[in-house]
Amino acid sequence: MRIMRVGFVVAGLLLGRCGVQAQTQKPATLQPANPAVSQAVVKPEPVGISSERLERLHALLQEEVDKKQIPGFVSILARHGKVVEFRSGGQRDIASGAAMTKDAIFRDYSMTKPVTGVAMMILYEQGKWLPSDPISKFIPEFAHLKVFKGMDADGKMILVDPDHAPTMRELMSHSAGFTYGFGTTPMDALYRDAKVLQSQNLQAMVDKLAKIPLLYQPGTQWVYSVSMDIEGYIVEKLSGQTLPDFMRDHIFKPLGMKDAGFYVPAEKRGRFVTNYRPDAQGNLAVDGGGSGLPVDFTTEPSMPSGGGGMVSTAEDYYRFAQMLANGGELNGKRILAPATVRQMTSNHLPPNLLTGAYGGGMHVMRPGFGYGINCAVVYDPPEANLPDGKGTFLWDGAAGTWFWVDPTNDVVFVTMIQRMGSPDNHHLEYTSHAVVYGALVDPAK
Amino acid sequence: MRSNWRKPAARAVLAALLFACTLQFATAQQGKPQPQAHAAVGLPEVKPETVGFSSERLERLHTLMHQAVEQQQVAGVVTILARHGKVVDYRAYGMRDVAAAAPMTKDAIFRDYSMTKPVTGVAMMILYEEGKWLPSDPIAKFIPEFAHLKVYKGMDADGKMILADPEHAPTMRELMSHTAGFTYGIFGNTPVDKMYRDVSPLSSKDLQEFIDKMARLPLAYEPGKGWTYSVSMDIEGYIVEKLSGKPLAAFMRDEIFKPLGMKDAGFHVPPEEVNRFASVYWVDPKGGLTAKPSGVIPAKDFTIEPTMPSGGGGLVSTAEDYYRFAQMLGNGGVLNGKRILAPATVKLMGSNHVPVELLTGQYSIGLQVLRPGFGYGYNCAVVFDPPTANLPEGKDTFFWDGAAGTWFWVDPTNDVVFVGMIQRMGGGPMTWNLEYQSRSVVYQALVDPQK
Repeated sequence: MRIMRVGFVVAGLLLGRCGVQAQTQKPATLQPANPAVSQAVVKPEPVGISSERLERLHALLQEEVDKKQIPGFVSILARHGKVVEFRSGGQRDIASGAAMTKDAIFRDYSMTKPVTGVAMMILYEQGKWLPSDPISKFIPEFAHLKVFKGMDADGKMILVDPDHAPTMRELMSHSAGFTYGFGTTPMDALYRDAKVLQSQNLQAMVDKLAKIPLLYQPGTQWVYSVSMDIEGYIVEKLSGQTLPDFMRDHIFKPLGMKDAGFYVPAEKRGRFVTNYRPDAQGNLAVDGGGSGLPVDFTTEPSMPSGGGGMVSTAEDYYRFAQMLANGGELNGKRILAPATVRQMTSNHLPPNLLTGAYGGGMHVMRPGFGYGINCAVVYDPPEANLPDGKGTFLWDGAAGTWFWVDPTNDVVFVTMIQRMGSPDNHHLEYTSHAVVYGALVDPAK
Repeated sequence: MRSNWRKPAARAVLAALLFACTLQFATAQQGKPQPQAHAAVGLPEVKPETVGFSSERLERLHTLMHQAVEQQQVAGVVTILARHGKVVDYRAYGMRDVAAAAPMTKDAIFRDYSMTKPVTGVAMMILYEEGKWLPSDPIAKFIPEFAHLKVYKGMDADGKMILADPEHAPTMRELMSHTAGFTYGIFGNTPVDKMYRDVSPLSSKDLQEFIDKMARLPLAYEPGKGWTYSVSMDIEGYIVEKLSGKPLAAFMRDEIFKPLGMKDAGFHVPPEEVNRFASVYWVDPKGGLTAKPSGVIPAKDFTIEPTMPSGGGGLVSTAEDYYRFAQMLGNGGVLNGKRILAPATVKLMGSNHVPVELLTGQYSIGLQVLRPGFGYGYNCAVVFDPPTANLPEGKDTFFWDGAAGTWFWVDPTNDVVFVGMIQRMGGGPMTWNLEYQSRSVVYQALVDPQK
């Protein structure tokens, strides 16, 4: 926590979360979403949601726009695979006065992580890896990783061997020992000095990480980290495809995620939302970078970031999230089996890490709120002080995008904004949970 | 009359009168096989058997209440029992006022005291659903006066209080579950409780003065590290006013009482209804009841509108009013088509929010002991594991009671709602515990829970 607390503001910006189990799903009875989501919006009442109470969601987001806290938004809410809410508000670009549109393209940042998680689970289903495998089985460069144990009297790092080789399970749940480079530990300083996230390509990133000690003994902490970027490298190695090509062929194309990718090509640039950041006075200013995260999305990156490199529309991400809610398929396109989705979205942190000592921003690992594979999981909502259904999984991104999938209530929610570095992003995210569940008046429907 | 009543001779006469009246009234009740009609209240009513209760076994509930009256444990009682939203038992017993020989009636108005807390909880949850606050928010976000609260850490060698900054700012979740560090002042005897008694925050002329006083009092313990029954729900009342822009009484009236048809619920009994206001009695150490106030809870005049509405203990209502409120919660937030909260929000309110390491039996108020299986949610206790808590009700039953002995519970597993109203101050372990006795008696009558 000492670690995450410091890096918190930055890390909180980074990213997203995910969720839990799919045990109560009824994929066979779900209606496939209309291929053109925008044409498929239905009245909320038949799926148990009150139109009147849903006005509070509009009010919540519109108030943010009116107070100039966010420039604009696109939000999608669905239940039982039916979209009941798809709306945009505010502006895509303040300077030009361009209105926000439903087809606007956003920086997903850490909402990339669940997508990379699905890529990994596709390979898991192909028998390519197991959670118990050591990471070094796929990345021999990591065979001799050391663990940081503090500084000696001369100010030198004390390094020891890991108690056990960090495993794939630990990699996928931010508990392997990696960090991000946003904190104040000597390891974070090494990440920054080595410019891990600014590497020329994934091989260069892996080579740098092979020389930096783990921050803690594998399995003994939860620290938000570059683990999903490492997964991106593993996807490439196990599939023989580049990460963007793999995602395109196995996820984006089958699901109809037309604008999802790792950059915005020239012909779509007009739909790309300007990214903002609150200045010292709290007013929105165009984000000038400096966060250490990818900034230029206009050209194909030489190092695709599985932890934060994607762009997409709200509808693209909704299709991805609805696929997970449906137990792994959308419109007849099967991406994963239900059991695999459930495994991905179940808590994998031991109880002794769920004490409130670890987390980022308002995502505090605690009783009832854990972390699965590339996403957070609300396995006991009342205990976690949340109104969601059991097994809800979620995450968000540094520019304020967020989503959740609630398998118990069969609810999917996606909202896209572009506001970097604001501690208010998490607050808005959790407030939307309160408001949406306040509108779900007839969950039996 | 009241002053005479306090004289021993007069009391003896009245006690005899009470006994006679009680017998007479009890006899009258027993003579009628059917409960009093209550068409006016518009509550659906069915025979117990249609919803799984045994009429024969339910007689034990009536017997219990009759005996409580006959043995002068209470002056009078009104109880309502419902299952699946249908009232199966609704009765009045004993006297509304002993001296006046006025029998208890179903439309009697009672002092709810701490049964106000769940109502204030619902007011807060309405604002939660509107996105106005989150459990993780620091209380000081809404009450800047609380930005610099200190924590009591003991006394130094010179007898001065050792005060420290809290390890974390107390949160709304902690406020809603009596774990923020506040206390009541009247129940405990810590140095902080003594400070409360000196400053008397609950006797403030309005909620702002109350908050200003509270801002100067230290927290009794580190936020989240204890459970102490407290003025927290009075603080919530202030927050309701601040977030809604309405006085607490007006907010409750518009958002809860009116939609639910709680006709007599409010923070005072208006003059035209005073004839229905049940008299309050105190447990007499010599046995029976007395109209002479005693104990740590000050007598309060509920016939005038308070300048400081108490979200922790200020409401009055009929049994039916409170039943309507409780049935709304039993229905997942709706009654007769009037939606107050969503089901998920009711579930959140009625779930335990006290860390399990605090549920060891060391924290309690009166007979409510926090223990394994028995925790505290938002503004109500929660039985999340009834067998472990030694209780017969269904899982996740939530409930609370009031200083004058009123009690209720909502059992979402069995879809049972119960409200019991009496007006007896100072009940304790040596008096009849009608709250828990009624629980045993009601569940032994639920012979077919599948129905």
